Amino acid sequence: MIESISAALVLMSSFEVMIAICIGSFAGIIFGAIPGLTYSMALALMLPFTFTMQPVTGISLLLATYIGGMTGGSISAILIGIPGTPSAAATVADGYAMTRKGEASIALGTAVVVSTIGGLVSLLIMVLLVDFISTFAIRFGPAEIFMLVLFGFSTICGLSERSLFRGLVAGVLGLMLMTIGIDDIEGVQRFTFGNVQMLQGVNLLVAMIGLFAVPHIFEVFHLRLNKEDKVNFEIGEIKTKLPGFNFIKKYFSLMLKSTGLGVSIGAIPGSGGPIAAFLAYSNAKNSEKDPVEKEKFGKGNLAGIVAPETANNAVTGGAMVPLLSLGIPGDPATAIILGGLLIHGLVPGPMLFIENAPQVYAIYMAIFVAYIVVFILQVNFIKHIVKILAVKPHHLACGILVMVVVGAYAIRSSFLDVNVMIIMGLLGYFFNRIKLPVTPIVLGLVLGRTLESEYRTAMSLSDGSPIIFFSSVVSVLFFFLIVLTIALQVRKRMIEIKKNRLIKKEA
Amino acid sequence: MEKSKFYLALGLGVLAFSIIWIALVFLTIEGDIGTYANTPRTVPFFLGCCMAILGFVFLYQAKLGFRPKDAIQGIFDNEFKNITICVIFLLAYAFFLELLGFLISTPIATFLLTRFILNEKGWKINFLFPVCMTGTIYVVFIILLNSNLPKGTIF
Repeated sequence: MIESISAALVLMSSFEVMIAICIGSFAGIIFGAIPGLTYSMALALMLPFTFTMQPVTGISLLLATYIGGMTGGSISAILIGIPGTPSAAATVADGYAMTRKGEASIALGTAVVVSTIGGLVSLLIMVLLVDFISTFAIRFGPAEIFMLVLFGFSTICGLSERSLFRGLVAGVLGLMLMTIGIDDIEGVQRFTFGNVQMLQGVNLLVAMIGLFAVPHIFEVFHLRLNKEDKVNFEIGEIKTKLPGFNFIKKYFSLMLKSTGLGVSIGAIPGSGGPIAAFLAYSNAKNSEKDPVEKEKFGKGNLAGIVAPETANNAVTGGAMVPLLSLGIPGDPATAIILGGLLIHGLVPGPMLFIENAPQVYAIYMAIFVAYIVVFILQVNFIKHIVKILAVKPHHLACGILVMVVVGAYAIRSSFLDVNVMIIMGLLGYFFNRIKLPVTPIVLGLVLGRTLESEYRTAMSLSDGSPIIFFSSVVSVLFFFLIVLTIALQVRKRMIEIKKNRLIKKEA
Repeated sequence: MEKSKFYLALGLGVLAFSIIWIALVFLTIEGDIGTYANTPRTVPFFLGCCMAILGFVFLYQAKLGFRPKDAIQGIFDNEFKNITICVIFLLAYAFFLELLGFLISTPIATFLLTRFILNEKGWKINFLFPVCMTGTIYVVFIILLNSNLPKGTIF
């Protein structure tokens, strides 16, 4: 272990890794802070450029972007009352109220401090949990892995932004897209229509760029061409004022509770930052015993920033647990990071720790360094960072357009990839317009290959008998969890319908 | 689109797609390879069936009069035209990227985009912005991160 840690230190100490962390953190903060842009988009744009980097450099760039984005969302939530990321939505109420009272500096400082604490504590929990789960998961056979991936897939589709069935349509579409190309097991062509370039199938990176970044370009340019541009925000002089030691003492238990909540929610595939932040906020409000303090929630109470910001940053550690130990991404951002790990030959799962221990420790160190860099950037450069909010959306979209075309083309120097990216972009735009979630498509593409290969390996082992999927306690447990996830979603929808009918009748 | 027709349209669309998909599974993939329920056709066929079931679920929801929680907006003014312009521009930029490489095609494409498509008038946006953006991307990815940017067939 000591050898692996010292090897990881050597990997981490290179100039390129440090630069990658600084650039990733900065880009993440910017994309997180600007309403309309997301850190998933930043990750999708960065991903193709990591292709030719050293594995640790590339992964560090992606992780720093993820962490910067999660933290940066609070900037616009506090300063202009519009969350930069959905995870920062719970921060708006008290953060923006403090800005209106002239306390923006202390609100920003509080958000930065608790985000860093939440993130670093979640990193510690992550290190312990990943190791524990990996030791357990190493005993899984193909049937167990198939059921596990199916469970992850059902929660992702079920808990995605909209309804279960709409999530499932998107997820199944992602799995369908994954089947295009050469079949991994028999080497048979599927849906290639005799085109040689189609043999490699839909490139994951190209699909991610298309689904996350291109719809934004279409939307912004469409508004600009119609002369319906969105407004840009001019922010005056602003500073970050860090809270004192008494603040930590006062909110210590709340931070601890919110971190626990964030890590637990983050570890459930499909849940993510927004759910954790809102749960932590309502938990902080409900557990407040002082009626005067409770009354202040929504009007500028510091606890209303501490709880959601700690929780949403603790999600980063939680979401990395199923990703690194089982290879199951919890949200779009971790799906993109999974894509990054795979292109560098780092296959997440129990074997990752045996085959690539130095790289895993380097990833832990990169997360730690990224939190420190994000903290430094937000404390010292906030007055420069907020200036980006004044840039017009279509000017930013020009930069994004260049990055998407260059990124998609650079992967394999293939014009076909640019065409695929545009098709995926049109699909993403269409899905956004008819309110279907796009995240399950990406997760279908990411998890599809494992799902099919484990299914077919299990079926080969059992000579075509599906009983193998119910032959162990673990796979039966996952099967019941899948049924439970779907049943709970259907029940939730039925209750909503009944409520609506009652309201209609009363009206 | 009217709210009440959303699930009907979605159900019919999903069902039609699944029928085409299943037909393609049988017409284009070799099926006599592998053991029972374990051929290259199995998973695509199963996915087609899942999609068909979801199509029927949406049709059933339409029959029960379900309405989506979020309002679905109709087609905006000039939406097709504007999206087509964007797509043509993306394709043209990729074509010139292949031909001229990143360093030459990017400032030219960005200038054409800002000046003639986005209708910007200022010299800073039309001339300085394309050069600065190309330079920044070059410095970040080539000099600092040792990554690659596309080289053209001519330059």
